[in-house]
Amino acid sequence: MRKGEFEFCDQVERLDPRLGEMGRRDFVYRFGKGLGSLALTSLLYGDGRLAAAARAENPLLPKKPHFTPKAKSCIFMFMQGAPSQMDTFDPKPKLNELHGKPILRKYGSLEKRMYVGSPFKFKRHGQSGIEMSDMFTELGTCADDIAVVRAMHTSSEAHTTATFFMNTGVTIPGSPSVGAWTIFGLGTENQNLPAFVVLPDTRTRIFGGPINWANGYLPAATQGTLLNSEGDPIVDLSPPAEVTTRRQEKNLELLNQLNAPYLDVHPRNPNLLARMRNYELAFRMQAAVPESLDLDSEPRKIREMYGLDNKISEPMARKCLMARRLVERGVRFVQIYCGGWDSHENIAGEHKKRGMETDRPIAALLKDLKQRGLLDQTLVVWGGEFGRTADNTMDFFRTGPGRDHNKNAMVMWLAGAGIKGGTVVGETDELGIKCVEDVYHTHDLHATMLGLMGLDDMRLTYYHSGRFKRLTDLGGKQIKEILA
Amino acid sequence: MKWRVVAILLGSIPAILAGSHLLGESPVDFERDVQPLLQEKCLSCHTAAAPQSDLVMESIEAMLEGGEKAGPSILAGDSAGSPLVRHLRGELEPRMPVGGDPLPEAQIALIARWIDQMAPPAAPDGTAQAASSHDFQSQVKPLLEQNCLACHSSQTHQSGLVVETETALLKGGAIQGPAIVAGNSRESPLIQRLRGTRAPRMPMNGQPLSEEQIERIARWIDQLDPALAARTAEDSGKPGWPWTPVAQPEVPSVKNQEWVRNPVDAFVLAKLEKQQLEPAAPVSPRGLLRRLYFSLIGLPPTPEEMGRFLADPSPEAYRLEVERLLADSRYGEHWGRHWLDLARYSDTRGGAIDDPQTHLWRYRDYVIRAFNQDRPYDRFIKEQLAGDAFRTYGDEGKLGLGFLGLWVKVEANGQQGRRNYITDVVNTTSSVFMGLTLGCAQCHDHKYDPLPQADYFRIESFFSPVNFDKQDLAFHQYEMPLQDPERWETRKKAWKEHLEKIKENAKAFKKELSERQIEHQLLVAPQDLKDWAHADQKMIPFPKDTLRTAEEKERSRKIELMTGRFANPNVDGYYDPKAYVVRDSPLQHNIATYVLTGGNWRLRAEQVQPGFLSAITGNSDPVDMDGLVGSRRQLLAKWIANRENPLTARVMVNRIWQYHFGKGLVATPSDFGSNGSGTVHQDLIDWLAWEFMESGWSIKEIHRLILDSNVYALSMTHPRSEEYEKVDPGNLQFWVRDPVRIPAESLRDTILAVSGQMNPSMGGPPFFPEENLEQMARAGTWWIPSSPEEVNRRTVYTIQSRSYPIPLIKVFDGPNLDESCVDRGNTTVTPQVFSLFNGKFPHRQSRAMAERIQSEVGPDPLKQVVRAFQLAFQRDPSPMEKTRSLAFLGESGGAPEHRERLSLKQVSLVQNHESEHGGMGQGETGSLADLCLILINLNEFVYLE
Repeated sequence: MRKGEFEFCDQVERLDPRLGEMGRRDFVYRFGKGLGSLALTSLLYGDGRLAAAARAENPLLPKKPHFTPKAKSCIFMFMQGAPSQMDTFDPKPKLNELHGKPILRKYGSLEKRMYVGSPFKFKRHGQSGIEMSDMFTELGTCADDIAVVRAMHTSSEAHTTATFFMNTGVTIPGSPSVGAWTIFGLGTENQNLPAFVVLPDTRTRIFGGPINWANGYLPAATQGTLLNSEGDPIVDLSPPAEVTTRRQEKNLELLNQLNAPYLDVHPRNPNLLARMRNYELAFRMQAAVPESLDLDSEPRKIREMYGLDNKISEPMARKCLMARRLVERGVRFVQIYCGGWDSHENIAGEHKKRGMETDRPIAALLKDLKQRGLLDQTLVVWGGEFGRTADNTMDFFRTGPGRDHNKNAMVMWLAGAGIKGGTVVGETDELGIKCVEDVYHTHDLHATMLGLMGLDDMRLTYYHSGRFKRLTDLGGKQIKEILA
Repeated sequence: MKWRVVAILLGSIPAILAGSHLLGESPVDFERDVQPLLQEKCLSCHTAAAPQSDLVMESIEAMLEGGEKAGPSILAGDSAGSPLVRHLRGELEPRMPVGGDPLPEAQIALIARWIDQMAPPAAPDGTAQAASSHDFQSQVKPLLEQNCLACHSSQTHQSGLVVETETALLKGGAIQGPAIVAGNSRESPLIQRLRGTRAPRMPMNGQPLSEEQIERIARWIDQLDPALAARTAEDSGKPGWPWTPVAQPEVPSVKNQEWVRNPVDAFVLAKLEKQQLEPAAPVSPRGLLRRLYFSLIGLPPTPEEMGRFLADPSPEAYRLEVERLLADSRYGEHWGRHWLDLARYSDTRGGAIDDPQTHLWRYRDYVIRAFNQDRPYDRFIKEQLAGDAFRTYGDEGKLGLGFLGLWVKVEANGQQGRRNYITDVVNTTSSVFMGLTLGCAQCHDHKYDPLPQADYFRIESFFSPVNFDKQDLAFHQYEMPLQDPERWETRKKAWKEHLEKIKENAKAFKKELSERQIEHQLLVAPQDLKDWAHADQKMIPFPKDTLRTAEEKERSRKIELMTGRFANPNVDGYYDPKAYVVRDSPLQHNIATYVLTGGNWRLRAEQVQPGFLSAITGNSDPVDMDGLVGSRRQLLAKWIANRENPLTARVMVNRIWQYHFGKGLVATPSDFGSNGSGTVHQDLIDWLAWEFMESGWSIKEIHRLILDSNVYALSMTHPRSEEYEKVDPGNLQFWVRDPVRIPAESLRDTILAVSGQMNPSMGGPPFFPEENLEQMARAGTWWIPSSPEEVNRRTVYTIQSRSYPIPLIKVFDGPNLDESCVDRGNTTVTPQVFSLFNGKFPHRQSRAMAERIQSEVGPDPLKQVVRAFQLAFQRDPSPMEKTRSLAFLGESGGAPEHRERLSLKQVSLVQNHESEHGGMGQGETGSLADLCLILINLNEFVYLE
């Protein structure tokens, strides 16, 4: 069996390992014979030299990491708007005592403010006894898989710039996101699916938009792909509705035939082959992408587990389940956006709602990954763009107080591959305003994420505008305490 | 050289004797023992009369001196390192004597002993030379030759690194810097890479060296005198090219005079002849004309224009074509786009609130106009840096100031925001006009170039008073509103109406929504939390599925998009005669400029006065501002746009070259510093720069010189390319034409041109193409899709949105709008297929193309196929192409299920302006459209000949 054929069959398997005999035959019909794609495949791979050329031009083929990776994939759950640390994973009893006490302090301008105690009850979970607020009852059952980083801080206190920073390590737009860096360093395993997928929150606009998953100065192939919740999951993944599969195949066949002579007389241009290959790939993606997102094919039990049947948790459940299906199929980096955490006002109600929306889906994702043996090779990261204050303006005390922005203390948790579950690292002061011990910065988080994926943040560089650039600028230090 | 050798020889005679006594062996005598051997085995090839490899072996001096390329064949006192011995033993390829039997080991040992008894060469001061260079030859160089030279010889210089000499290693590569740190092997990148502690491990893709071998190299590095490195650094620290003034270089003479059409060819050919490379044959006349059209106007010729040229492809006719295209206003649109890349042009602010900067399009039109009028480049610079200060430039000059207002306006506090602005302006100005990475010197002295940190702030202080602001500025006679008043009024009216309608719709629908929302919330809110619904009505999202009909959903979506985005006052003033210009603040505290420690605005160090770059002026004196009327920026502008500035002209001619060839003579066009690529074509750049300034900074004149050369007309194939690739893998010498993909804008424009849908009207506010609304919703900008006529204008006129780049443009490596884009990428990625094969735009255009063909040649399929190829490629289809295409038309036209008649209505997603294309034929049209779609997707369509 020639290499090309082998790869092709491999992709059949990969597309869905559970494809029945019927399905497989249908697949071969649609993607094999009809298209004449085997002809092109052998055209591409029949000659070792051409294969080398084609490989060289596909920047997303799997690459050798810097060192043995712990994680193959990463799911980064971005809690947009910034969750509060003292209402989630960092209990502050002292703050509850001060609740309602006035304080004169500068927030923007000097103003009279009041301390806000947490309206949530904390409870220890699992053998490790990690403390979580009652926003997260389901997640509590996964406590021993989670490592909480309490003394995190970041470099910006405005949503947009802080979101850029959490994603790209820079407050100004134009730099590659952590997902782009990851696939730049590692490539991806399933060429039929995008390597870096973004699942947005359709209710809210992401601060700064696509800049957060952009490739910046890295090659265009590394940018994140936004999957739409309606219509084509990817813009123009499929041709207009009236173009039938059969017609598409005919077109591709003629395209290949007419491309052949030009290929022969331009041996110095390796991109010509790569382009032809991409037409085939795109065609396969037309089926592979919707298949990977087809949640109806999941058993009822799983759907219930994620909370798909509940209107409140449904949006997050959908994204979590999609994320599992994507990493299962070899997608390298999945980023889930979940908005609504910016509770300047009525944090009791707002955060509680966020809990109801996300608690069950996130817990289900961890458990589901675990039961499939995927948690060992998937890194899961949870957190927002910064933390929140211990006090609030007086204005909201009647309607329900909230918390404002705070970059000096925030909380994040990690789980999965390479993470020592049941750990809590770092300490903030008694009101949760500032980090005190085992302090880590966003750059450190990035270094840890890259490290678990097998990449050295110091060596993952790209020459741009006069110097070698990095995700972590001058480098971050790994959060050693949480590493298994 | 000769004298030195003789001196060494004289000096070594006593040493020979002395050495032999110590060894207690009878000394080897050259004439008696060695010479006869050499005579017999070597002199058939290495005589002075006909030296192979320039190597003469008739005398000791000649062997010590060695061949020009191979270096010395013997190293006095060091037989193990002497190439002669190593070649004889077969340690070096080829084993000597070539074609003869190897020498017996006894004879080789004799020669080795003779070499060993020679004294090592004396250093100029009489002491024995430091062991280092000696060890390098014998211990280190052989290892490097064996393992590294394939990539890092002076021929190949991968990453700019050459490992052939000690000095080259100390100097290191252009990008990575020194390969060794004298006296410190641990810190030496060479050792780190050999050990694999630094990526990539070297030799790349080869066997790692043994620890013993690495240790040998490390020992040599450790014993190097650190002062040596300092001396090397000093030597390279003296700024040479491109910091020296531009002088007119002599045009080199070449052997093949016939090939030289103008001096450009002479410079290139001289380099090629030196390496014994022959340039490729010229491209076909058809290929040449297509290349020329895409080079100058970014569009293909029509079949008729091609026919005209093919009837007479003489050099005169070609020059006529060049002139015709330089005078074509589409030239400015194409070359203006190149400049807009550099100027980081965008119609929106950037950041989260990515509102359009409503009047910046006047800068875009200004750039296009400047290129079309061949505005002298020095004036073009002055307008963009200080157009307000040069009174004679009038309002047109002020429009150039848009250049200073294109930074990304992310939210930041006052001081930080100001820093963001100032650094953008300083960095962009220095990189675009002078090819310098001055930005590196904001936090510390530049690591590679002679740019001290203070110089950064001295340049910055020219900009310290700047405020960027919107002002009333009447349209002048060359701008679109007065050039095309009818279109201006039509668009203005349509805009206002559109706006009104949206606002009304939004209001009504919002009311309706909020009523139903409350109802909905009460329905879905869980019982124990029902208090929410009351407290936070506005926070609970309104799920889409409670909207009953598709029409409702569509409306809701649109409203979502529109509301909130139109509260901006810019929206209403969209068509006002305003412009963004800069004004200098009169306030003293704004003007004071300090060196900032680490580039941090909180850490002020000493105050600085405006001054130019010390590496160029030779001093750090402040400029004389006594009696200055108007802005201090004009001083900087005059200094940059000046014949005395060594960088300005060189950088610009290199850019012009870059856009014609797909790569610059300096491959990093905005980094002429020592960390950039450097170039082997310094003299060609200097010659072009000289001509550029002599012509009065005429860009079109440089086009003429480049386009009229044989280098420009080279074919893309070369019969000996495999062999040549080894000598010059990157084609740095231009012996062949590199494959170049047409830029994203040209791709879209070309599709419009061949479909016949192109709307050629120029200038004015950008149009909003119809794109995926949901994607767009996440962009920070507002968006009102324009009419189909507007959408069919050239791509340079689309809205350039930082948060929402047009997918077709973005995937074909469109520019990053956040900062100066020096070089478009050339990636081949799958989403390109989505945009070009599946997208609505190519489908719509290929149907239009099919209609066009039908109306031009009628129903005969053969004629249709020929016309389609003519439009797309300006050639007839080959017999194979004809057969296949006809079969495709016949076959797909035959089966009834493939006869779907495609109405344009189905495709036009957005609304309101669906174009009504009647008269599409039944039957074949669908498949002719498919054929057209296939043609615009072919490699031949996106790659130039």
